[in-house]
Amino acid sequence: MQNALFHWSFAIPEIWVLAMACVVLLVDVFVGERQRDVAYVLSIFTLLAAMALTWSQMGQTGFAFFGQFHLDPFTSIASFFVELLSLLVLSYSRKYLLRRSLYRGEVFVLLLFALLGALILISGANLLILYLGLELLALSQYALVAFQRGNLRATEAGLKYFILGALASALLLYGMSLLYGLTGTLDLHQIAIALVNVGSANYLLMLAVVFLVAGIAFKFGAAPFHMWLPDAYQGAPTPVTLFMSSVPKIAIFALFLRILVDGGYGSIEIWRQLFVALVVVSLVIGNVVAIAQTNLKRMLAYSTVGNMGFLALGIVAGTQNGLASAFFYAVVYAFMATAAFGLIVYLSREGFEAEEISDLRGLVRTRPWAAFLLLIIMFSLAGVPPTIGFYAKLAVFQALIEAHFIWLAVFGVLMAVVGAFYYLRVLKVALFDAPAEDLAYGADDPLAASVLTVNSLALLILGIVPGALVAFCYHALQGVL
Amino acid sequence: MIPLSHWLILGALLFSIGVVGIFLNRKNVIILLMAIEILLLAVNINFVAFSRYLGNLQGQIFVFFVLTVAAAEAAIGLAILVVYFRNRRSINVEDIDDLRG
Amino acid sequence: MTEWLFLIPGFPLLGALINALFGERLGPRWCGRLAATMPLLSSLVVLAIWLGPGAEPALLDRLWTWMAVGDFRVDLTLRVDDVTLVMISIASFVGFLIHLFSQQYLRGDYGERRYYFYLNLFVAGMLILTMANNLLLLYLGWETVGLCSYALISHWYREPENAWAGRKAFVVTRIGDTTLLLGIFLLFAQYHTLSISTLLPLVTAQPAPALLLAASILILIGAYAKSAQFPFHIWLPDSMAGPSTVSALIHAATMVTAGVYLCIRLLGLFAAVPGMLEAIAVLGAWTAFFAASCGLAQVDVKRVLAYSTISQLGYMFMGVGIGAPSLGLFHLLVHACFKALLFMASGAIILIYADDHDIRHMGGLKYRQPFLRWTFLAGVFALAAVPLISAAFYSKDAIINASFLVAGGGVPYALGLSGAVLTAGYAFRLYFLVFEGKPSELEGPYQMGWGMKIPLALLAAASIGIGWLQFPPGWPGPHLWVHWLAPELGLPPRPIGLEGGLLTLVGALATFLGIALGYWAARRERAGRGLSRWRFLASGWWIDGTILRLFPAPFYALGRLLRGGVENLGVQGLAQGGLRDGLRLSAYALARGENGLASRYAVSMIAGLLLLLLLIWSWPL
Repeated sequence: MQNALFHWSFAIPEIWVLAMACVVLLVDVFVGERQRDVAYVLSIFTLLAAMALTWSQMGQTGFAFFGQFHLDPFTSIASFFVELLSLLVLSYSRKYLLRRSLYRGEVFVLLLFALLGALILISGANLLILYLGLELLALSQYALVAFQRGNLRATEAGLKYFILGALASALLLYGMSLLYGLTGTLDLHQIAIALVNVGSANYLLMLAVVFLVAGIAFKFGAAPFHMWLPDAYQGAPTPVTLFMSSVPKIAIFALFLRILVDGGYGSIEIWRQLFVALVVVSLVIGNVVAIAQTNLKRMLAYSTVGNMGFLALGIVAGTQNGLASAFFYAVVYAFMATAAFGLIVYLSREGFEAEEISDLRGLVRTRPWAAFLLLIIMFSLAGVPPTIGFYAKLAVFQALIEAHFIWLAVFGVLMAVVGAFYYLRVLKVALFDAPAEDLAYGADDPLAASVLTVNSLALLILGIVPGALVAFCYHALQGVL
Repeated sequence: MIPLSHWLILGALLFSIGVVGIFLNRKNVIILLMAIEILLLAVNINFVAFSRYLGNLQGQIFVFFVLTVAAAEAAIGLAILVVYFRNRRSINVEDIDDLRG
Repeated sequence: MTEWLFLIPGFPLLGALINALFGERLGPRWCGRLAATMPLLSSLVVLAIWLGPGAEPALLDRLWTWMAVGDFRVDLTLRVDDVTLVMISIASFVGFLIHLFSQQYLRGDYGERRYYFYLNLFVAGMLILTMANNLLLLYLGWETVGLCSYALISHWYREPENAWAGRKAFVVTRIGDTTLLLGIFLLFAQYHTLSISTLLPLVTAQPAPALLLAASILILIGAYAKSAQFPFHIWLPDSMAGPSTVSALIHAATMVTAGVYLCIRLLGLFAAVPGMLEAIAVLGAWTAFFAASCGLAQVDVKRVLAYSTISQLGYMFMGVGIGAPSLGLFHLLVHACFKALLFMASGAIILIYADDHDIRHMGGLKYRQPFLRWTFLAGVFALAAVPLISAAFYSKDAIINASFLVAGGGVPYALGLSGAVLTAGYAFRLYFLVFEGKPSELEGPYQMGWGMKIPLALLAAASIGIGWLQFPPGWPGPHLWVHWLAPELGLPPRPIGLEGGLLTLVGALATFLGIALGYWAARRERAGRGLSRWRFLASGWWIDGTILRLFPAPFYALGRLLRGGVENLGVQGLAQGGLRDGLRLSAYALARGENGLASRYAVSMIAGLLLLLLLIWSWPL
């Protein structure tokens, strides 16, 4: 019986990250103020090695730890992406952290723990494990948001994020408790079996699913559970925003996939209905409110809300193709968001966050290359071909139409048009407005510059040659239903 | 023997009290933290009740973990609250509105 | 082994990219040099194909699968067969000559960098269009070309009429673009493929008459709009607002030939629809005749050439229609050479006369500008198809003669032949007015540098000599062209023996008659009683005005009506307030909901939860 085996080797990447997080913590205690680079390099090494370990597991499947831990193509691929994204976050932010004396071992440790949470979320096959992974991810993020202790906005953002996040965790947990009561087990596999007998016309199941969906929607940042997101994005130090906008999106998709598809696919008729409502509200709120924003980070936060609406379109489709397109969307969105926030990080300097849209006035005159990258990023976010953002939307709409949700697809396309408005407005400011004399960008970190270039050009190049990435992401969801 | 439904209603009531505590509270952030604890306790009651009803220990194990996580959560929450207080010199809920729009 | 085909459009594309990104740092001089190098590199690659593998069998370079969603799959494949090889040779090499000429011609202009960016992009678009083995990729190139033509025609955008001309070109070709896209959709809906090489055999194997008729008409409208065929020609005379080099590029190397190329490429499709080719032939001959008659009455040197382009393209379509596509392609090549020459030379003429386009103010230029005169004359010879020593004699006359042989070719033949008379007429009228007679006092000093002389000389040589690739049947000399293209396009009908000799003689007589006509017209023009006073001809048979009155004018009227009558009654509130302002207002209103209070956020979350509960409760089990 495969289930009964311990198979700890399946969890090697997670164990590695955990061990190294502790090592970084210890090392940081012993090295002096001047050798912070040790912790930084060690963290980078940790991530690289974790990626290698995850890659080496590609193709293996099975359960470990008595069925509580799941290894399948989705686990490997999603884990690989979150490790890669964490690596991007670290490479973007070195100068930023240095300049604000945030360049401390704790940041890296918290980041590694958050990553660990995400990895556990991706691999968990049991409600308890999922809960622990989720909390590890969330608690680390609360601390990261408020990490800049002297900064009122950052601490305020941390406080709000914490309160609302805790509320959302409680909602999710309440849903879990009902699901447990209904099926008598925490194991997702057995929940799926038990639900066959329950059927979807069960009020307790409906209640459970509503609470679970509300919790997941909060973590995604789907409206109307999105209110924390703009405040947290705006208040947090930009590298933290960068992290929050990328890694958790994939991890939360995994949470959704594990609970509601692996475990609760029997209730698809219920959650699909709920996601339709979330999609409509998210698309409207995200795309409309973003128009009113003057702060770039806040605008991108609303754009996240809107994008989660697009992602959820794939979930609504609910088919194999739909889920795969949603995962593809999550991955693409994560890379677009890292590029967008990475650009803000790159342009900022001491005492200047480059986070107002007006801060980008005439960027093309002062920093033509950065402006070109901004062009790619915004086009990709707006879903203009030939960027990868276009394919992400195309895939989602395609899946939706296959599942006969025509009106929802039409609505989504309309909202994408509205969305294009505020992305293009950023470009208008950056490309056509006269530059302000008093603006001086940081933009002197060669590492961040090269990573940003690779990241943004990837959005374009993958849009021209999307085949491999699409195949990779669709392979992850193979056989999930 | 108290029937399962009573426990569930108790859990639901506690949960509602916690929720109401979060959004009716206009005074103090500490009370928010307490409301969150109540929410988690409500969940715990659900788990224990189900566990006892089903004769299945998994729920009670879950409760242990929830308690542990709740402790960690409270610690982080209080820590954030302390740094916030240092900056703002207030923990009044209505003062936490610098970020908006 | 042909993985390098992508270099051909790749070089100009790269040039455009570098120009766009670093142009400001390079400075206009280096922008120009860089831009000129790129088509040269492309033409070197093309040369490598000529010298190396050749294009039989067709070279394929499958780059990657662009998108694959469901059964919709687009492979980016570049394909070079003999027809494509001709097209890319023209686009890259003539394109290069035009770039070279521009170096001096446009120096000190206010938009040099923009100009070179679009010029490179234009060439790249044309190369993609011609090399595409896929209708979607072809359409991509098609649109790129359209966009660039718009930008280049209104290059001197500070004068409103130039911008207007650009818009007109854009809108008219846009109509064609749309119908082309619709035609592509129809074909895809029926045959589930966009690849040209898979599509054409399917069309013959599984004909669907009604759909094919609709699709081919839609695609033909696209080709007509792009190639400025009657009645979609109205944008071309106005497109003279752009720099003369742009006209050279649009009229010779790129853009307008795209329509002809599309017809040749999709010949299998048109052949599958009964009567289609005959219609193309008649329409082509009609356009050739009609535009030539208009050319006789123009006074703007560039408008003469514009109508001549329309007319010459008509001959090419006629060639395609009568089943002689290889002759049509031959004429396309010849036309590219002499038309690029004539446009660039006319650009120089306009500079000499200090931006005066009116040929009635010119004269006697041959004394001060002998080089310009001889090269221009070579172009005029080619345009008029002077026997033996001009290339068009071997291409255009071959088309006209071939039409005599095919069934139902009487109308095209008559129209084509009378068109030939008129063509020689306007060509020589132009020459006599500009170069002969007394020198005009408006003439200024202008020295052409080598960068301008070399392209003119090369193109003049080609205008004379390129026809010798293909002598009429039975004549001594090479007969390369049609046999070389026969595997792909088949052998065209060609008159032989006595009949052939007589037809050739008639064609030559037509040319000489035309020259006499040109002399007469030029004299009358000098005397102030020229054909240009005949409004009917000068305005292009009133077609432009009629179309503007027929189509856009009712729209404007409707617009005024709506604005005056309906909009004031409340549409304004709905359309403006409702959409833009409404969006903005609701954005601010919704944003105000985010009042920063955590408890308010919690309320929203709980409200959301209740909403979901309500939704699920009200949902029928």
